Amino acid sequence: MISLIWLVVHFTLTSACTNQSSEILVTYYGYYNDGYRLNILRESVEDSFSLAPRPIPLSDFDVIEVALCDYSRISANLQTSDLIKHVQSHRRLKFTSTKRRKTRPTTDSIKVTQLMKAQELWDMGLKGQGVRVGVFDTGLGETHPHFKTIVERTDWTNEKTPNDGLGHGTFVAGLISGTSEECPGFAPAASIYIYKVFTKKQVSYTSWFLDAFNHAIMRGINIINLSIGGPDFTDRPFMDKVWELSANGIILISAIGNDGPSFGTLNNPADQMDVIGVGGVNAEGRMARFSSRGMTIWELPDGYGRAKPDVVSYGASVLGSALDGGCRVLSGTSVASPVVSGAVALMLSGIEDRTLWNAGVVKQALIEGAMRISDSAASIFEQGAGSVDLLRSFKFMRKYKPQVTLFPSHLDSLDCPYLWPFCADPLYAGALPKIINVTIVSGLSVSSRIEEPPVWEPFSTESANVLRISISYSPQIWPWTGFMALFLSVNSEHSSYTGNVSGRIRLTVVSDHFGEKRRATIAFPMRLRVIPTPARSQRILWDQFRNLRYPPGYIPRDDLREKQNPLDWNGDHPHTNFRLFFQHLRADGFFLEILGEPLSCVDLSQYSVYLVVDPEEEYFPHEINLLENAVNKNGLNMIIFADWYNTRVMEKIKFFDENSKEWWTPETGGSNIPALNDLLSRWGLELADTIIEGNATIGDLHSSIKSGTVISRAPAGTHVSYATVNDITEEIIAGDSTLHKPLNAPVFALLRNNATGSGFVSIFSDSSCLESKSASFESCIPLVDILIDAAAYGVPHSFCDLLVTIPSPLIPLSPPPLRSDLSKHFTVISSVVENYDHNKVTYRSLPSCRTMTAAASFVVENISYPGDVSDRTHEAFARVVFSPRVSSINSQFKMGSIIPNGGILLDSSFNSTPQPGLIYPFISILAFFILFVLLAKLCRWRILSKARILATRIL
Amino acid sequence: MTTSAEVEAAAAAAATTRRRMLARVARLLRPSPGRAALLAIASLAMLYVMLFCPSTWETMTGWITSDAEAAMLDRYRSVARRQIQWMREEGELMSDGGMMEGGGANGTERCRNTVQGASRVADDRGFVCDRADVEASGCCGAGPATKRARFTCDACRVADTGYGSALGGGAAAPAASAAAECCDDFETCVSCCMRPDQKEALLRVLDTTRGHRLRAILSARDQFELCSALCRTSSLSVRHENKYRDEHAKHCFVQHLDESTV
Repeated sequence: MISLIWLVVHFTLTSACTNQSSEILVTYYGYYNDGYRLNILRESVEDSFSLAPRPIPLSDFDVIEVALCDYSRISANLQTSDLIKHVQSHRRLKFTSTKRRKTRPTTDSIKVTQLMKAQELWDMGLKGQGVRVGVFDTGLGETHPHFKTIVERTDWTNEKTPNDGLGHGTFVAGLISGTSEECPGFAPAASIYIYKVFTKKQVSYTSWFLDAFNHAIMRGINIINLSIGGPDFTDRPFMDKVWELSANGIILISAIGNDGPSFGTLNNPADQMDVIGVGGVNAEGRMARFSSRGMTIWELPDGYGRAKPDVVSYGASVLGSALDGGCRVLSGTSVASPVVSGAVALMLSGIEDRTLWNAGVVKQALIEGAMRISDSAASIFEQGAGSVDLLRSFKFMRKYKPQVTLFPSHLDSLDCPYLWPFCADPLYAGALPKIINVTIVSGLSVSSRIEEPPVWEPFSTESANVLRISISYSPQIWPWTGFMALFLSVNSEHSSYTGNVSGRIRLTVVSDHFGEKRRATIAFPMRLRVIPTPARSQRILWDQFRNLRYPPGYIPRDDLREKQNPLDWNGDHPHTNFRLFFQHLRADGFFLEILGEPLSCVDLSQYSVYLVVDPEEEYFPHEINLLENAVNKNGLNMIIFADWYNTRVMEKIKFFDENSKEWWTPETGGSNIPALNDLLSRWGLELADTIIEGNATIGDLHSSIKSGTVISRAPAGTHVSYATVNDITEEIIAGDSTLHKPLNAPVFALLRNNATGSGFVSIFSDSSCLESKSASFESCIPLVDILIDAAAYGVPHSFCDLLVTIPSPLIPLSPPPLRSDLSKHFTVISSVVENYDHNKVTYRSLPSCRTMTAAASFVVENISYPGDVSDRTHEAFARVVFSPRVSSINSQFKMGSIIPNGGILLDSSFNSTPQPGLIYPFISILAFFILFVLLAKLCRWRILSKARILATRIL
Repeated sequence: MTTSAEVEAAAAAAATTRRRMLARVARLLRPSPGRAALLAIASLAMLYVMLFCPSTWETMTGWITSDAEAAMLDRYRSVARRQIQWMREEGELMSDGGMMEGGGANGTERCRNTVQGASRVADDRGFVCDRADVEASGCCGAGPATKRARFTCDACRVADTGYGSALGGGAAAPAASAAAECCDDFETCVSCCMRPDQKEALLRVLDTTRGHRLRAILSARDQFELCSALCRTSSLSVRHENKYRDEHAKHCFVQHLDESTV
């Protein structure tokens, strides 16, 4: 498997840039007119810019003028646009910060300690003293003038020096404990342990991390900052080690990733429950575009992701320490993470009770103290609990009693858009259960548990009757964290109920803490909108079960031109990368239900449309029978968005993973065409392994195709849409851009059966056009609109008339693509197929469907839903904290013992490795001495030889 | 056997050599204007590098310290060999056992323990117990839920590394040949490693461990700390960087693997 870990950084080199401007040359993929180009630019650039007029309206490039300070951000934003080919500086730009020159803080760089009001804690004499912070990064130079409290620097890479060759580690360490007045860190007195785990070329391995992490446990580190991350959440040795660190009382704070604004882009380890995952906001407190967004995709397809990041903090244009001893500006969640690490270190130095220095309590303090950001559009999957508020969190910790925190803390249909998508999606009878995944944070002890099942307490008898709730939860809350998943549905007899129902889920967490039984209670208040069951025509079934993604398998990207990330890793869920599509359907009044199980687990007659987008998983033969029956006899309409598949291209895009020293071959194509063909063969349809790109017009709708497939077989009477596109199969295989050839091929098919009570089958060549990041003018969402309307009210003649109705069957020129023998792990990651032998498939047995028992309900009538959910003392939260017996835990533990929060109290006289602070002057003196002796000897020889020469001359 | 005369003669000879060496050094160090000037120039040059070329200076010192660190680690290794407090032998244990168990109750005994476990904990006396049975002292007590065991190797086995003898059914057999002794979970690994008769095997581990992993075990002052450090998964536990060599027996206190594979 790939253990892609990268430094989560956006380098924004800016210096003395307030009044200067710079020009950017933007090249597009095609020739567009003025207005169109302006639209493209406006879509990707939020900042102001001036556009140089072009003499001719139609152009494939533009020159825009922007403020020099914004240059990097704007050019990065421009690069994310799908229509822009190149972004380059029009006039050569000099990055002065590579020179040894002090950068002056500019108006748009953030002095983050000021914004976080660190001064108030500094004034109390708190400077992070006594807190050990481990910085796992690219190292730090010994003589950097900003650092006074570096205790140890260790190198775990192969570079043989703990020095920073990149600047990333220096910047991160600077935000935590820099002492520069120009760009101060939060905790200048914290003990800093530098762990170099990245080389200056940003290379790193899991095994380096494992050994370095063990060393951190041994050193009794309190906080570890991880401004690193990658998409692989299946690297067990790494993840187990992260849990082990948390279990030993180490607080891990990590960057959530820079893959935004798309959803489903969280990075590991920040997406782990016990880790504090930090997203980025700018100085105005708005979401930074780059910040990765939720949900976690571990739980898909049958579950639902957790809300991440946990909190956000300043991460755009932040001022910090530079490699050369000055200050510089950097953006990224790499920056937001040490801001929080520094703030936590500062906070902890004011907390005398060291048993509170652990991941559980600190996570509670950050979540409970955080304030929702001013960006009112940001949901919990973007901003988490909100922006870190140092003072509020500090107050929370000062008054701390062992307790339990839930995240999210409540569920409210009216709390929109913060609780999107829950607030956007009402409940109704007969729907597949809606799932919310609640994270439980327990400050009782490293390991606690839910002994009694959580109790459903409706606030009225009506709520009790209408709502049906099933609860699954983690048996153990370890380390410090666990989950509780609520499956929400409406009892079938209330199919015409309208209104809000409310209640709470109450749970008690218990823990054995060094001979003491601790117990705390918390409730999860809910207010849910219930509507009458919508008509069949409004209900759409989304097949999530058909999605496979990275990790664990190499599922290749859907757009072969996308070189940045080779993987399909965003979950392909209506609430992740197909989010805009979901919102569009909801806005049009349709209801999308998400199926995470085989089709045998759902009543297909309830839905107007069966929607499958970018499928990678196979179909059970039984499922194909069910679909054939439902479409032909029961009026179900099937809409398929396929993607490319070609075994030779799969062979071509295999790569050698430097990390795991293994070859990586795709498990399937962009989507699994052989599997789809098995399904489509029932209607005489077939897809080919030709890969195309270009623009298509279906009826009167335009949409773009990026690495799509072609319809190769269709029976007579099928309505087909041809498009003149480029066949890029050979181009991709040979890597030669001249090899694409024009092709007029069917890219869309609509097959109607004239029998009464039957639905249609429709296929489109590509699925990328439905993804959120696509610009609206190339989207195929309008096509889905037409199709869904057609499913509800019949296919309009006006639409069919614009398509070609083929008089004779479409016959493929080549045989259909076979399943690839290259995909060695497909049968491991698939839950449908057991064995692939050439094209002979052995299926697993059909899994049994999920059955969930409803939680018993106990009506509590005197309580109502809280008017202000930020008031956690409201009775709806039923918060009961644990009051410990009076004992001073610290005094029980002598020096050298492992204290309950996991740190080893070391007395300073025993240190196994030399303290760099002492050894360096010693070595310098030694070096001086050796040099002196050598020079003295050299000098003597010279004198001697001179004498000899003289002597010779004299003689 | 050497006679005392021989010893004295050897000592005298050594003293003479030392005196000569000192004299040579003294001669070299004798001040002269030329040398003083050279020294001043050299010092100034180094000062210049130190102040104005921090990167060069850091490379130089880094180059010196990496060797110095290796040498230092080797020195600490020999110190660790001498100073680690080992669990006492069986006889002493028997006579001590009663007092130790009583210790938790009367409040004098304090234990360090493996803080991290989700359900189980090992203490510094080699006991493994349920979290519920850990007393305020940090020791594994004989509580109501007790499944307390001492020096247990129940979930341990020889990992498949192609090396010799087995550690079967909990019977202690510190193998003469190089065997990897690995356990399912961390707590059992610590308990098994805490057996007094593991001393020889652990000393061999101490001698053969190299590189980064050495740093984490050299601070150990007794068998508990050594075992806690050794039983953690490390760079030796993985293959292809992101998979365990052995999914189950991944906590090893003795593990001999070709260093070049990691």
